[in-house]
Amino acid sequence: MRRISISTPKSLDALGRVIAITRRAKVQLVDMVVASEDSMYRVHMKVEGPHDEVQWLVAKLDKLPEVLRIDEGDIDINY
Amino acid sequence: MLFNVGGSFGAHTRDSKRVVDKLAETFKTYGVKHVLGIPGGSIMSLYDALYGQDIDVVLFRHEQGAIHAAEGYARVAGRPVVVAATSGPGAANLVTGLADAYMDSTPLVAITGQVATNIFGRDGFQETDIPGIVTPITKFVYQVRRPAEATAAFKAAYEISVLGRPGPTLIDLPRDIQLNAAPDYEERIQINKEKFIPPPPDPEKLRLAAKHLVEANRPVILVGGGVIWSGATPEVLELSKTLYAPIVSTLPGKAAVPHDFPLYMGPAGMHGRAEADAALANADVILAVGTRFSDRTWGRFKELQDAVRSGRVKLIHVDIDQSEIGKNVKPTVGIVGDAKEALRKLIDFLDVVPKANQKYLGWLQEIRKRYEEAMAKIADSTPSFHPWKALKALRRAAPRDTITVTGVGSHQMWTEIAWDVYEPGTYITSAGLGTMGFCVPAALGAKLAARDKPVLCIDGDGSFQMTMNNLALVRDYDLPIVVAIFDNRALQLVKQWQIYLYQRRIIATEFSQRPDFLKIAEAYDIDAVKPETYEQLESAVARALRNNEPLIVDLTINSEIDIVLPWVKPGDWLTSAVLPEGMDVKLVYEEN
Ligand SMILES: Cc1ncc(C[n+]2csc(CCOP(=O)(O)OP(=O)(O)O)c2C)c(N)n1
Ligand SMILES: [Mg+2]
Repeated sequence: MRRISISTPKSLDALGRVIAITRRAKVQLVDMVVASEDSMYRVHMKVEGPHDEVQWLVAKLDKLPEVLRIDEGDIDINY
Repeated sequence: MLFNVGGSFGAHTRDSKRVVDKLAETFKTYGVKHVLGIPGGSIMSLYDALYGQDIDVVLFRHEQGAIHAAEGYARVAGRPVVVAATSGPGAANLVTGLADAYMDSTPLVAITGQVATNIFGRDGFQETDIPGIVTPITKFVYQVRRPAEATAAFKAAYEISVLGRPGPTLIDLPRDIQLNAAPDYEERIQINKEKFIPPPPDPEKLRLAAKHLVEANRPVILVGGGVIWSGATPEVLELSKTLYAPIVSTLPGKAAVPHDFPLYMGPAGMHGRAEADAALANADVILAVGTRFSDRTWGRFKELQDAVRSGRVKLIHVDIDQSEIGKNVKPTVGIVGDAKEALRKLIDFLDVVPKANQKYLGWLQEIRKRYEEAMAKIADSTPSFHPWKALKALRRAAPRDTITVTGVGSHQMWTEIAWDVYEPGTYITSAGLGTMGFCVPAALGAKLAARDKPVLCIDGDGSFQMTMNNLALVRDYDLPIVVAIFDNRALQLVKQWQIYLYQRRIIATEFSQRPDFLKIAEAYDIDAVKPETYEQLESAVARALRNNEPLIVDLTINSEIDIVLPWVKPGDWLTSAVLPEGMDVKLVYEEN
């Protein structure tokens, strides 16, 4: 299981774009939390699936101009 | 507030600038010379702001026409043009073109009108959630919610469309916002544009790539559409000459390489050339540049994946878009960067000069010769026009710098195989989405971008009928294009599949004799011919292109003989391409 953390502007359009890509990934979205912080949304996902597919998702998400930051890693306590 | 939100359509008052006036000014500062589209209630104010401005408004007959024209324009001019459509049906009519531009990485900026913000979600007249609809098929989409965002959103959309890997963008502009008084400040749009600026290519990876390439026995360079956007044709040719590596292309990449370059084998794939399929399938080192590993080019990936995994084949993939590296096939070396920059540096790393594998190159040339001989024989024994031979006649008629655009279907596949491109960027086709109806409007857009160049649209009768309404623009805006309709009265490519994959159960692929294309031409005040010989075809087209006159050619083709080969059937590997009769060659190379 991997963690993907994203920052987007606080806009449901941006969030909608993130979800539109995620639903096409060949991974299972085990959990997703959207937290609001100042003018931003922080999206935390737990995804389960083959390494290459997780990478596919991260790379595709990172193509969105609204994804201001993205990082991927092990599930940790900061989630 | 000057205008009644949601209610008034607000005629222009001269004493203050509206958001749309500011937008029109911004268009000019961004060098936008044309706005293509059709107006309507929700976008009238933007059109109103263009009144009397130094920007040409080009009125299409269908929004799909406007957006394909924007694609043709961008591929010729190398920069985007603006398409403006009204909300609801106008916006929805852009969808196919946006998807097409997204698949073929074409920059353009669409601006759609939207109902006023105070009636959002109330299903008002012509309300459609266009940002929701186009989310997966645009590089960037933004719905403007505050007047101060409008110009910033346009600037972002324009810049993002061209930065890095190009693509279409869309701005949705509610009617009340358009009519608002323009604020004297601009609100920042929170986005990360910098990510689209390609990183410098990794020198260590380039060094490794160079090592694999000089050690190769049967190298090949696979060129995709990215090479055109990057302007990397000189580097590709230099690499090919230095490494004695044959060049193979994808369908969009076909426009990147002059076809009289001796080591260019042509496009590979479903309807590629046999020598190109062979060069890809038998390579031991593949340098793939600016390509997304489409199933149309490879048939299937299994053989390649296995060969790369086992180390039998070294795959080097250079692409500006990180997400393409390893998406379909995991490369031996993946290099993110601009093609021109990466290849230039790669050339510097080639320290050893390899020897030409003459025997192998000779084998590939022999396949080419055998194909040409087999096709000449078939075409010569065909009583009516044969598409393969008709393309040779058209090529003789068209000056070297002719911009050629195609529809989608068998005629397009014939051009993939048999149309020679001489100057980079002069072949424009809908490759990724395969959109029938692309040709006429994209050719009009190409002509708009380069009025001094001859433009030839090679279309199918089915594709032509989807967007022929836009022919009105030929006279309206003096856009003299030549349209050659390969008129087989069929949706031939689908019919070919029915013949070979569905036991000849022909359904819904044969047309009646309606309409008469000569009468269609007449209705649009365009000359037309129905040639009876190749000579008539050649001379009519040569004359029209030379004199910059529009012409419609109704080229009668017997559907029964119109079978495009080679053909790698869907899901097959390249070496199992079905070859034309009389071409008895194997596409698997044997060393001895
Ligand atoms: C908009 C659209 N609808 C359907 C198809 C499926 N399709 C692919 S090729 C083809 C036939 C095209 O016919 P025509 O333009 O006459 O070209 P031909 O194959 O006859 O040369 C069809 C229907 C498509 N590509 N695009
Ligand atoms: Mg047809």
